[in-house]
Parts: sequence; structure tokens; C-alpha cells
Amino acid sequence: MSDEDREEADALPARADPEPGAGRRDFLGLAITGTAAALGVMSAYPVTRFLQPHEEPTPRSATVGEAMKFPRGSSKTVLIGEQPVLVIRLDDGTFRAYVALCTHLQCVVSFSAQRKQIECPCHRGVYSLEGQNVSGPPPRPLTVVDVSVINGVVTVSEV
Amino acid sequence: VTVTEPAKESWFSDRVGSVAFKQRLGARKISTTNPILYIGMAIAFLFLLQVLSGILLLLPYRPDPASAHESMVSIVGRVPYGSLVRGVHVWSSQLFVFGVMLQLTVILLTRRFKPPRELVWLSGLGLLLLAVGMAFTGVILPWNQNAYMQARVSSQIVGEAPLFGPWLERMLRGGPEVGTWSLHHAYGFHTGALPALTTLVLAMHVVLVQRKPAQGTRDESTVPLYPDFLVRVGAVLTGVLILVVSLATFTSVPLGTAVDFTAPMPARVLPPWYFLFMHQLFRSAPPHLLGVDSAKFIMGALSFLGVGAIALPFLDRRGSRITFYLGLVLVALWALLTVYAVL
Repeated sequence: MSDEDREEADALPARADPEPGAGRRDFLGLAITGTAAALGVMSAYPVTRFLQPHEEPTPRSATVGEAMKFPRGSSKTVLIGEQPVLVIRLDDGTFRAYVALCTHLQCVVSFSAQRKQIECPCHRGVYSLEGQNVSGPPPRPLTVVDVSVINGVVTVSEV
Repeated sequence: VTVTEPAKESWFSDRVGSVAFKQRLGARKISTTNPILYIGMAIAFLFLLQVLSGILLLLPYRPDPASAHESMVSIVGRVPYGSLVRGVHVWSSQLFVFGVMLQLTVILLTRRFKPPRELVWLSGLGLLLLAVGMAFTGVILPWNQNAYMQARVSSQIVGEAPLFGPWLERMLRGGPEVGTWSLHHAYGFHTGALPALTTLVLAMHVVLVQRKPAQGTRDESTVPLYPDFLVRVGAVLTGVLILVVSLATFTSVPLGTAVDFTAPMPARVLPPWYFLFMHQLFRSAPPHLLGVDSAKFIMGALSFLGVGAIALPFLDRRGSRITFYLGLVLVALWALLTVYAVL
């Protein structure tokens, strides 16, 4: 603090002030709460970012197993990364694969061999074997996953 | 007021001031006919039970997807009194949620939210959110097939909410998908942030209630806070304790089977009782409502209702009869949807 400032500061209470030092007290109060608020706001950004971990690279495909050991009219659920995928072998021997998550609220859907359809256990959503939403609350068809059979081994990979 | 002799205090009371404290409490007069005081005390007691049993459960529980379910089986089967401690934890949390709901309903129908009790009402709403949050994250921790489904659906439902929905969804999941990190996030919220916040909000609520106590019925009888009223509270809390311990002893909460993605999922998945009304809404709605996905529409409507609940003491400043009938309709609707969901 320079001498001029000090003189000015000392001179302040001498003025005709109804409440001596009130202006300075208000200013300090504002400065302290303002700084605290600014620090709070500044810490909000790193905290919100911290709570949202960035995506780790996940595998895009998964091996289902040998086609020989996959009976017709049955299904298997496998994981691509952490995403469940429903693989169905139809009666004619061809494969279908879908992301096994209901397009309504993401319950895991399963294949019903008796009723020849894909069902969601949470809110009674029903899909055809082609993945089309047939009845119940699902608003969209299931997401299609590629199936390939190479040297008798079934592999699913995201489109 | 008689002036008592300052001497003759016990060694303990001389140091902590317990005699003076009791005298101060004795000078306060409390209504004996006000139900919300007893419900409030029961709620605080149930939270204490949850914290105590929860601290015990921290030791044998493993928050790891590979061994979480196994550790729960071990708690119930092998740890001495593990089944009792888990039962007390589960049932005190269910009654805690129920108690907060009951309290808010009573306050709503008797219009005790009106000014100057706006902040009492708001902290009560905050407690409901925290109670449901704690109970629901607790459902995830056994990491069985049901927990996996609940984690999927609930995080997706949160994601359908307007504004902060997608951000909250990713925070709850710990990534873009429900997986191994989701269990750890549920565990973190369940044992860290949520009970800490609940302690804070509960304490704030108590302070706010002290400043702006509810007006009781007209011809109310009052008694001193100490010892008369606290004896009554003690009787109520003993009743609550007997209820919790009985439920923990004579009922069993199934643990299900550990998460296995390749195993068939359960044929019917139902959320906990406090979310059954939402389950019924989601199940019976058509795929689209007014051009948007019905799930988004329902979450938008419920968010609107939530904003309405927050704004209530500022909109209805006199506690009108309309609020009473509206509240009655909402409670009836909630009960109807809940019953319909389990049928």
C-alpha cells in the first residue's frame, strides 16, 4: 500500500458518513462472498466433467461359437463390449442378430421359441423375428447387428 | 420461575450442562395431537437405523461385479446375524421412503406447506428424492438379474427426462452402457453422496421446523417437551423398532441369481413398490404420444408435476381447498396405478 492510499484510507471515516465504515464493510462483504461464489462456480466445471468418465474404446465384434453347435429355432445372448446382443438361428438355419435392448426403455429382450417372436419382460413389448416392433410400447424396431459365419464360426459385429 | 441453587450438580452435568439442557427443553410446550411430529421423529429414527446397519454392511459387502452377489449370499447365509442386519437395513429403508411419502401427503392435504413454511416443504421434497435415491441404488447392489434390469431401465428413464436427463443418465451408468462401472457408481452414491446429503437436508429440515412449526388443530393439548413429549416419542420409536426387527426376522428378501448376460432374463420384471405407478404408466402408454416417444412424454409430464410441487407454496399462498382436492386425486391415482401394476 502506498502512502497516498493510506492517507486516503485514513481520511475515509472523517467524511460525513451516517454509519462510519459501512461502505468499506459492504465492499469487503461483497468481495468475500463474490470470491467464494466464483470459486464455487469454477469448481463446478471440473466436478461435472469428473462425473462423466470419457468413453473407453470398446470392441466392435464378438465371437458367438461354432455354427454346428447352434440349434435351429434357438437363441444366444452375447456381449459386444458391455452391450448385450441377441443372436437367433431361425428354423431355416439362417442367423439374425439384434442389439438385445428394447427400444422402449432398454430392458434386455429375449427370444421366445414357442411364440416365434422377441419379447421384452418389462413392459410387454413384442418384436417380430425380423426385429420389427409389433405390439406394446416399443416405438422403434431393434437395432440390427451383422452376423457372419466364417469357417463354421459365428461372429457378430456392429454395423 | 423459581431460581434454583447453582450447586449440587453431578460431575457429568457440571461439564456438559445436561441439567440446564433438560430445564430448557422442559420449558418448551409441544402439542400432543400433531401427527407430523411423530411421523417426523419416526423418519429420523429410521434414517439412523439405516446408517447404523449400513455401516455394518460395508464390512462384508464387496462392491465388485464379480463378487457382489456372492458376498450378499455370504452375508445372509454365513455372517453371524447377517440376515438380521440386512433385513433391518432393507426394511428401515422401505419404511423410510413410506414415512417421507406419508409425511408429505399429510402436509399436502392439511396445507401446512403454505408460507412461512416454504423451505420446510422444499426440504421435505428433497428428502423424498434422497430417500428414493438411496433405496433404489440399494436395489442395484446385490447385482442379480433383477438389479441389472432395474439399472438399465431406471438409467434409461432418467435419460428421458428433459434438460439434465442425458447427463444424469451417463453419470448414473458410469459410461455409455450399463456395465461393471454402473454397480460401482450405485455403490458410491448409496454409501457416500446420498447419505451425506440426507444427513444435511434432515438437519436443515429440523432447524427449519423449529423456526416455523406447523399450526396444530385448535383445541390442542400441550405438554412439556421434556420429559412428557419425549416419553411419547420414545413409545412411538419403540413401536417402529419392533416393526422393523419383526419384518427383518420373519420375512426374507430374495437375493435372486447373479448377473449372467447369457442366461435368460426373468419373465416378468417389476420395479420396487414406490415406482410401480411409473411402471404402469410406461406399460399402458402407446408407443407415441403427441408425436414424441411415450417414455419421453411421461417423463416430461412427471417433471412438470415435480416443478409444480416445488412451486406449490409460492402459488397457493393461502392453502386453498383446490389443492386439497387435487392432492386427493393425485394420491388416489397413485394408489390405483400401483395396484393395477401388480395385478
